[in-house]
Amino acid sequence: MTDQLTLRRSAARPAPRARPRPAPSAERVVLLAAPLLFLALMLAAPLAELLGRSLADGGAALRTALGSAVFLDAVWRTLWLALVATLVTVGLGTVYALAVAVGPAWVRAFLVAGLLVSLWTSVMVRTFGWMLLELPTGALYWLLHNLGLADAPLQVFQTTAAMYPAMVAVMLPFAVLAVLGPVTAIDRDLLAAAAVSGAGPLLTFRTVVLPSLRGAMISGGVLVFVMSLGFYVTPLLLGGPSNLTVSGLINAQLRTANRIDVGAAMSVLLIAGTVGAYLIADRLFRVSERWGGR
Amino acid sequence: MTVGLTVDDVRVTLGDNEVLKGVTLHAEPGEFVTLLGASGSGKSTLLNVVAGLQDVDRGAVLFDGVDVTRRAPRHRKVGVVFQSYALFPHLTVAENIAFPLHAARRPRAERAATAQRMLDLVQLAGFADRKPESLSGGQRQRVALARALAADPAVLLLDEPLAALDKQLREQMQVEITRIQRHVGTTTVAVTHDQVEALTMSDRVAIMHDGRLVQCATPEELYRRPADEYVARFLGEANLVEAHGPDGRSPVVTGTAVVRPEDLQLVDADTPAGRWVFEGPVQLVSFQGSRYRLELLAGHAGTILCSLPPHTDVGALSPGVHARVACLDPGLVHVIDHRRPALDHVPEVVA
Repeated sequence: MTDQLTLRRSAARPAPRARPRPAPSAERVVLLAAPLLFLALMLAAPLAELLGRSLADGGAALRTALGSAVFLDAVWRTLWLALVATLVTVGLGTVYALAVAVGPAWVRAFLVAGLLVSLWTSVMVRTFGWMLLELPTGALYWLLHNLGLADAPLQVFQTTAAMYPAMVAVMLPFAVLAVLGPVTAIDRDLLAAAAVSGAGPLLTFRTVVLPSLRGAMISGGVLVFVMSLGFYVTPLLLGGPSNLTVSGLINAQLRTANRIDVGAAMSVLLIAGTVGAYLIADRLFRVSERWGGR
Repeated sequence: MTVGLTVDDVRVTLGDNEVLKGVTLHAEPGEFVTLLGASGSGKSTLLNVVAGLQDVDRGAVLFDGVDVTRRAPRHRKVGVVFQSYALFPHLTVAENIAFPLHAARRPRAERAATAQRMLDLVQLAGFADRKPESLSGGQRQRVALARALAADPAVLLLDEPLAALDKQLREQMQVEITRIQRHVGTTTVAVTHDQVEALTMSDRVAIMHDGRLVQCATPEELYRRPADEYVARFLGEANLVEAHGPDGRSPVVTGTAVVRPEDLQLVDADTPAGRWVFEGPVQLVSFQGSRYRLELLAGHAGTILCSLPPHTDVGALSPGVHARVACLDPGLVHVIDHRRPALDHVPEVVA
């Protein structure tokens, strides 16, 4: 334990003087073996396979993928979806976290329960839930119809507008969890100082709350963005064929077009892009320090 | 702007704990009053009540006779220096100081001018564009004070303002805060658990104990004429001995006499036994730099503590030797009149 701490510390900051690194102890090697083996079998091997396929024949599959207008369209669409979903999710997530922090006990219990239940429920189930809501004669129509607000069945299912609420709902717990800790850690004295200085709620929010949460919102945003790049089920079921994401396109390559090599190449590009996006974000905002790497 | 501050019979209960049990306090316009007490005495709660950061169950807070009890903190026009300073970390020093004017939607030029004026006042002229994180503790303290005073508050509140500073800086800031407070003339209430700080800075000191205000008076008055045993023990050292009637001859204990250790002096064995003469075997003699500390076991009066000037000849005094000390000026002894049950165990010496 101590070994690990020293090792991490000295690696994290530029050491003023050279410190001999303790050799990894025997129990650390043994303890690390199982997860490393698991990662090698379940992650590294498939990745190598994908890379091998996409680079076969001098990278023909890669060239096909990059030259495909459908793929490039899907890339831009995916980036755009992820960006919009991230901005909306982080905004809502912050409001949600603030409500959890300052709300009365029953509001807090209700909101936390909602968060956990939604985390425990599979994305697939939640997406089908949104489907039932948005179908032309679904739950939403039923509600609006009974309120006398809709006469004809709704035309929202499998449109772009139908997709965003579900995507945000799927991602919301991650944004809330990222912000919730820092919200409860906001310095009470700063809030009191703003209050006695005569600041209203808006100025207090701008001067104290937002700056205190900025880092958490960014790291939550990066998390949501990176996860959103791989969005598959939700856009496919709710957004329809006109909202094809990169994941959806890869699926089409493998199952319909039967171009496994091109699908592999696209997968490699998606993974590389995702890792690249994360590394850039990490470089800019030091996200990894927030997620446990000290 | 400066106002007279009145706290009228304020009671606060937090959970099952009655933190303030009916506190009444008045500060004249421009006066510096310090709330002094041990932790848990309710002094910080009382400060929060004045700031509006703590609701009261009963009682009222008045500024110049106007009831502000139900007024939100942001509308009270108070300046507060928090123990943690609570500077906004991403704002510059000047922006921090001008924040109350920003909140009041004052024009930019006025904010800048006020920030400059306040920086001069707290002697931080070149620091306008620095961030709080780049300042030392003492400098942050000054910025916090400047921010609290920037909008010319009705009342200035200082919550343990010097607790986070080291000793030397603390003494320097005591003088500094007093200078600035006299200069701006704002009615000030400070909270501290440091006696020296309270006595140095304040016009009057209010001793708080267990949710009550025991005595509020000038430092001299508190020291010379404590209202009860708690105050006598709390400020400096005191010998508390039984007082028997006005002439000392009555068999009935009528009060507690407060004899300060520095008011006692060594006297010859042939000095007639008087009312404030104590004698017995020496228990301890120790040299403390500016004073000698002497402890006698004086019969029924118990241990008597005596503080002697450094030039005293203590050669003959060693533990076990019989010695005699006396307070020759009876006017220096204050008798707390007993209209209530006697002390738990009399006599007693408390450091």
